[in-house]
Amino acid sequence: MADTHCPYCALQCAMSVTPTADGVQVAPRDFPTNRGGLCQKGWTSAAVLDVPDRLTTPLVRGGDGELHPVGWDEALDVVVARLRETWARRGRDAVGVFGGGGLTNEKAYTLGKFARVALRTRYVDYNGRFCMSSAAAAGNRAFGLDRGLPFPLTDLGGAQAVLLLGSNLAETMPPCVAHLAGARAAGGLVVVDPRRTPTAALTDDGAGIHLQPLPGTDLQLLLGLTHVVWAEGLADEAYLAERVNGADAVRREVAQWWPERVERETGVPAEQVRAAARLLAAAAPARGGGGAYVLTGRGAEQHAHGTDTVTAAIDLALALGLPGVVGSGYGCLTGQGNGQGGREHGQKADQLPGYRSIEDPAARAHVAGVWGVDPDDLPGAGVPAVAMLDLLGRPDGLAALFVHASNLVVSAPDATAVARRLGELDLLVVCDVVPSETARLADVVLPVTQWAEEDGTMTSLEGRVLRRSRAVAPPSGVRSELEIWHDLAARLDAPGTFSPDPDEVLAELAAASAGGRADYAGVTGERAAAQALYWPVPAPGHDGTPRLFLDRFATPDGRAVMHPVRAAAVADDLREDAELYLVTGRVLAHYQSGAQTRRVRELTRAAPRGHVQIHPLTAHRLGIEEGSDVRVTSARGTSVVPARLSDDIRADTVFMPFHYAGAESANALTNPAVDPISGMPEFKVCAVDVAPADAERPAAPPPSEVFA
Amino acid sequence: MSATPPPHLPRHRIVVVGHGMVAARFLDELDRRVPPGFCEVTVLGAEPHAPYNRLLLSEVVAGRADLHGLTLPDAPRDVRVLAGVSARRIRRGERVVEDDRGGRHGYDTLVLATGAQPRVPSLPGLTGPTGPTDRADPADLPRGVHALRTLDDCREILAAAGGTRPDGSPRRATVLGGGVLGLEAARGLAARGLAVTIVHSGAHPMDRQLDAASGAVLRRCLSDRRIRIATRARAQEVTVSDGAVSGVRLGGGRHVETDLLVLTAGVIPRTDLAEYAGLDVDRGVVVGADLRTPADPRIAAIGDCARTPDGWSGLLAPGWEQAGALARDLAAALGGEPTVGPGGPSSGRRVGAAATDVVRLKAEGLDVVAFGAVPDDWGPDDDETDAAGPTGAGAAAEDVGASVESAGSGGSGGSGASAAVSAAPRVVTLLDVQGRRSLRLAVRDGRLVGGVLVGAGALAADLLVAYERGTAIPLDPARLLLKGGGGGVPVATSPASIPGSATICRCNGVTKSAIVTAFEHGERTLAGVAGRTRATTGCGGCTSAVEGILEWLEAADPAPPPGAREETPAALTPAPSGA
Ligand SMILES: Cc1cc2nc3c(=O)[nH]c(=O)nc-3n(C[C@H](O)[C@H](O)[C@H](O)COP(=O)(O)OP(=O)(O)OC[C@H]3O[C@@H](n4cnc5c(N)ncnc54)[C@H](O)[C@@H]3O)c2cc1C
Ligand code: SF4
Repeated sequence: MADTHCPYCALQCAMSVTPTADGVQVAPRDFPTNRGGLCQKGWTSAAVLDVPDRLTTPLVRGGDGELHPVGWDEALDVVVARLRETWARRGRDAVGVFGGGGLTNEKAYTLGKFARVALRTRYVDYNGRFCMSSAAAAGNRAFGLDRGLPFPLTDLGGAQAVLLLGSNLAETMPPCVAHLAGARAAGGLVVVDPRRTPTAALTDDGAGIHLQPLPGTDLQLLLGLTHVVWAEGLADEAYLAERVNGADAVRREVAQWWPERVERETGVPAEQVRAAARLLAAAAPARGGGGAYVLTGRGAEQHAHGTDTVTAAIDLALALGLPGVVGSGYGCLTGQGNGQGGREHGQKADQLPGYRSIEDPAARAHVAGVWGVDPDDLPGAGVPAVAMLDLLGRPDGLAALFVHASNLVVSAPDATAVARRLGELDLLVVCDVVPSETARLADVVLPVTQWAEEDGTMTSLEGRVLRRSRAVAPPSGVRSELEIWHDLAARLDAPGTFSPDPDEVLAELAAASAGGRADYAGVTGERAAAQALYWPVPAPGHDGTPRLFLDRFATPDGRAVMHPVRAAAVADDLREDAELYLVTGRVLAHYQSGAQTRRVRELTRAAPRGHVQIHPLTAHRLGIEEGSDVRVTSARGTSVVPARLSDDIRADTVFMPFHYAGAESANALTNPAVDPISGMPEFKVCAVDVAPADAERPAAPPPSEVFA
Repeated sequence: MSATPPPHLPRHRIVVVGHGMVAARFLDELDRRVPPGFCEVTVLGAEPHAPYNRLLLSEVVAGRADLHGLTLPDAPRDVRVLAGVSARRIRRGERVVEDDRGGRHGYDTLVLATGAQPRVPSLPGLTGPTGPTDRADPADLPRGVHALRTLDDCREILAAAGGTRPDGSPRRATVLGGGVLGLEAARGLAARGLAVTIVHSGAHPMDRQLDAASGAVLRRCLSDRRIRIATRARAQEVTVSDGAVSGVRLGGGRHVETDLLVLTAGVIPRTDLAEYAGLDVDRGVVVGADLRTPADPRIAAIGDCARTPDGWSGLLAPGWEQAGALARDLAAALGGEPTVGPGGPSSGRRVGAAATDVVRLKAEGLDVVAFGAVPDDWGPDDDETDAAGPTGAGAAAEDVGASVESAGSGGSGGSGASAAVSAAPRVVTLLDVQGRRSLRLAVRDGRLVGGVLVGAGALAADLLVAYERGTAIPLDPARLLLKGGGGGVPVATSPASIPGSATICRCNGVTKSAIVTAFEHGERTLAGVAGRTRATTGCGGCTSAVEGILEWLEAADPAPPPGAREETPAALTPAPSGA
C-alpha cells in the first residue's frame, strides 16, 4: 500500500493505493484539501492501471504504414537515427517537444532540459498553454509572481464572499465544494457562468448570486463590478495608497463601464452587477467584512483576451484591498494535476527552471552551471503552443515532434487541422500509457509508466508540493520518461547528466530553481510527504510559504500593479450562418482529452458519448429533440453529437464537453485565435450553426465523387 | 501601416472641438489605429475639466455615483489638450480654428464634437441661452434654476438640494420635462429626500418612448416613490421672488411652489460654429454617411452636435459608433489599415446590427427600457397611421430631442422606426398593472425588432441582448415575456416521489435505487451508505438528500436490518477498481 494522490486534477486528492488479489484498491485519505472525499474519477482511477489496451511495448511504424511492436533498443535507435537525419537536413530547430501539465515536477524539469541540452532546440512548450497561461501572465504582471492560489485552499472556508469566474468546480473537482461552505452560509457565493452549472446552482436558496453572462464577456462584467466599487465609494483607498500602483488609470477606465452599459454588453442585469459588487465589498476586510476572494477558472481565461480578463479580476480584487491579506485574496484554480509545477520548471517556451526567464543572462548562467553546459549553448525562447503547432510540417517549421502527456489531437483548438499537421511530420514520437488518438498517429510510440507506478512530486493548485508514491510495479515493458531521456541523451552524446532516478532529479531541480521565483531549494520527497510544503522553499531548513505577499508583492518595489484593460469582442462572433455561441468544458466523469477516463467502464457508463447542451426553446425552434443527433458546425469543422435539452443554458448558447474524439470532437470546432500576451487559445467561445443531423446541409456542395 | 511615418510627408493636423465623451472616444480609437508620428492632434475643450462620464451625472444626483469617479482616461499621450479653451470661429479658407484666448489652430481635418446644450424654454422668468456656451449662462437664470448637463450643473444642484426648508419640511424640487433625463433627475432628488414634482406636457411620462398603458404603469411607479407628476401640463411662467425661483405657473392657473427648478426640457445640438462657417445646419450639423459636411469634406461632425443620414438621437451609443467609424476612416486615409481587429471596445454586436436606439432609464425603482420600434396598433390590417406614431426608442431616441424634432415624424428614428412602416411586425404584450409590469415586444422574421418595457426586471437584459445581437427568438414570441421562457420541467423533491433512476449523488453517479439497495442490504446510516455506494464522498452536496431517503425508507420499513453490521467509515472502505 502507498499513500499518494489522484492522477487527475489539480486538487490532487489524497488517496491510498493498495494492490490486492482482486485488483488495485483506491481509498480516499483525509487531507486538508479533499477531507476524505474523492470524485468518481478518483474512486475509479485504479482502472486505468490495467486497461486492456495498456501499451507495454514500443511501437514503430513500418513500411506497411502500420505500428509494429519492437524492442526498446530498436525503438530508441530509430528515434535517434531519424533525429540525426532531421538535424543534418534541417538543423536543430526543426525538432520540437510538446509537454503536459500532468507530468511530475521531475519529468517537467527534465523535459525542458532534454529539449535545451540534448536536442538543443528552442521549440518546447506544453499543453498548459491551453489552460494556465493567461492567469500566469496576468499574475506575473500584477504581483510579480504566479502561484495559482497564493494561500492554502482551506483559507477559503473562512471567507464571507467568494467570486468564482468560469469555474465549474462542483463537477471538475467536487471535494473542493466543501471549502465554499462559509461563503454560502453567508449568502456570499457569486458564480459567473453562461450556464447554470452544478457550481452555479450552489448559489441557490440565498447562498449567493449566479451571474449568467454572454460567453466571452467576463471582462466587461469585471469592469462593471469594479466600476460599482469605485462609483459607490467601496474601494479600499488606504490599501491602494499603501500597496498598489496604477489605481488611478484603472479607475478612469472603469468610469466608462456603468452597470447599464455592462448589461447591454454582457446580458447580466444592471441590478445584479450592483448587487454582486456590493456583496463582495461588504465582505472586504476594509469594510469590516469577513474576507473575500476572487477566483478565476478556464471559463474566464481561455479567450483571445484571457490575460486582460484575469487582469480585470485582479484589478477588482486590488480595488477591494484583498490580495496579500490573510483571509482574502485573488487566485486562479489550476486545472491539470501538475498544472502548477508543470509551468515552473522549464516546459514553457520562454522559461528555465524556477520560473526564470530564458532571456535573462543571469538565469541562463545559473541554470547552465547546474546543468554543466556553456550558457551560450542554451537556445533562446521558442514560441507558445498554438504557434508551435502551426509550425508542424511547414518547410521552414518543425519536421519532428516529441509529445509527452498530451493528447493533442483531442485537446488542441481546431483539432482537425492539428491532426493534419501532425501527419505532415517526418518524425512523431509519442510517449503515452495508452494508444491515445495522438499516439495512433505517431511514427514511434514509447509506453511509459503512470501515477501509481512511479515516485515523484506534484505541485497542487495551492502551490503545495506533494509526494507521489509508487504503489504497484509497472507492467513489464514500460519505462519512465526519465529513463527514456536518460537513454536517448546517452545515444545522442548529450552533455550533462540525465538521471533516471526521480529523487536525484528533484535534488538537481532544487539546485536549478534555487533563487528563482518558484524556489524549490529546500524541497525533498521526504519533506513533501511529511509536511505541508508550499513554495517558495528557499533553503533546506525552510518550512515553505503558505501565504504569499503578506508583507510585499514580488515586484521590484513590492507594490502590486493595476493595469487598465479594454474590452474586446469575441474573435469568432455570431454571424448570419452561425447564430449560436459554443462554449466548451468538462463533465464530471471525464478528464481532459479522456484518454484515461474514456477507458474506465464506470465513467463511460456515466458519460458514454459527447453531447450538446441546448436550451429547450432553441431546440424547439431548430426542430431538435432530446437525444437526437445534432450537427454543430463552426468555421473550422463539424461535429455530430446527441442533444441534451436543458434550461440551465442561455438560449443563445450551446455547450459541448471537450473529452471526445472523432465525430464528437468539440475541438474540431473551437477557434485557435490566441491571446496576444499569453498565447492562450479561445477555447471558450466561437460561433456555431446547430441543426438536426438528418437535416439537409444548407450550403454543402454535392460530393464530387458523384460525378467522378 | 509601417511603424515609422514617412519623413517626407508633413503630419496630418487634426483639430477636435469639444472634449466630451464622444471626442474622448474618437481620440482613443484614433490612437489605437494610427501609430505615433502620423498625425498631430489638438483638442479644444470648453469645460475646464478632464473629460468625464456625462451619463452618470444623474447617478451622482441620486447619490449612486461619486463625482470624482466620473473622470475618463486621459487623452492619449501625444494629443495636445487645451482644457477650458473654446473655439470661437472656423476660418475655412485658411483651415484655421480660432479660440477664445487668441490661439489659432491650423487643421487638415477638423472634427466638431461640441455636443448639445440644455434647452431653456422661453418662459417669463427664464431667459434663453445666450450664445455658444455650454449651457444657459447662470447669470441669466434666477437662483435655484439649473440645467443638468455638466459637472458644474451637477455640483450646483447638489448644493441646492441640501438642507431643509426653514419650517423643517423637506425642500421642494420641480423638474420641468418628464422624459428620460427628467425622470432620472426626479428620482435622484427624491432619493435625497426632496419633495419632487414633475411638470410634463405629454399625456404620460416618457411619452416619446412609452405607449399609454406602459405610461400608466410608470406613473404608478412614480407615485410609489412619492414623486408627483402633472401631465398635459404647460408651464406658463416661472415665478421668482427676491431673485430666486419660487414656483412654476401652469396652464390652468395652478401654481406649483418650489425651491429648486431643474430644466430637463430637451437639448439643442450646438451648431453655432458650423453655422457661422456657412455649413449646412438642420437641428445638428448636417453630415453624410462619411460623417463629413457635404460642403467641406475636411470638416466632420460626430456625437450630439451631428445630424447624420440616420438622424439625430441625443444618445451616446450612436456618437461612439460615429467616433469609431471616423477614426477608422481617417486611419485608412492616412495610409494604413486598422491596427486592431474588428473588435472595438463596444463592438461585441453583430456586424451591421449595432443598436444605437436603446433607451434605458438609470433610476432605482423606475425600470424602463425601450428599443427599436413597437407599433401602437396591433397588426397590418390597420392602415391608419396612429397620430402618436410608434413608441419605442427608435421613435425619438431621446425624449429631450423630441422637443426639437416634430413629434412622431420618424425623422430621428433608428432603422426600426422606418422599417415599422414597411411591414408591420407582430406585437406581443403583457400588462400587469398591480405587478407594475407592462411589456410590449415587436417581432418580425423571428427577430426582436422593438420593445417597450416597464418593470421587466432581469428579463430586460435578455431582451436587449436578443435585440442588439439579432439572435433568433423562440417560435412562440410570447415565450419572451417571462424569464426563462416559461419553460422548465417540474422537479420532484420529496424522497418518495423521486424516480429510482434519478441521480442523487452526482459526483459518484449514485441513483436513488442504489441507495435503496444499500438500505435493503442493511445500511441504515449515512456512513454505511457512503461506504457501499460512495454517495456523499464527492462534494458532499447530496448529504441531506441521502439522509432524507434513509428517513423515508426507515419510516416505511422500520424493522432492524437483517444481519445488521457495524458502521463502516466511508474513508476506510476500499473501492474495487472499476474495470
Ligand atoms: C444626466 C444625463 C444622463 C444621460 N444619460 C444617458 C443615457 O443613459 N444614455 C445615453 O445614451 N445618453 C445619455 N445622455 C446623453 C449623453 O450624455 C450624450 O449623448 C453624450 O454626452 C454626447 O456626447 P458628445 O461628446 O457628443 O457631447 P457632450 O458630452 O455634450 O460634449 C461636448 C463638449 O464640447 C464642449 N464644447 C462645446 N462647444 C465648444 C467649443 N466651441 N469649443 C470647445 N469646446 C466646446 C462642451 O463644453 C462639452 O464639454 C445623458 C445626458 C445627461 C446630461
Ligand atoms: S479528479 Fe480531482 S477531484 Fe476528482 S478525485 Fe481526482 S483530484 Fe480529486
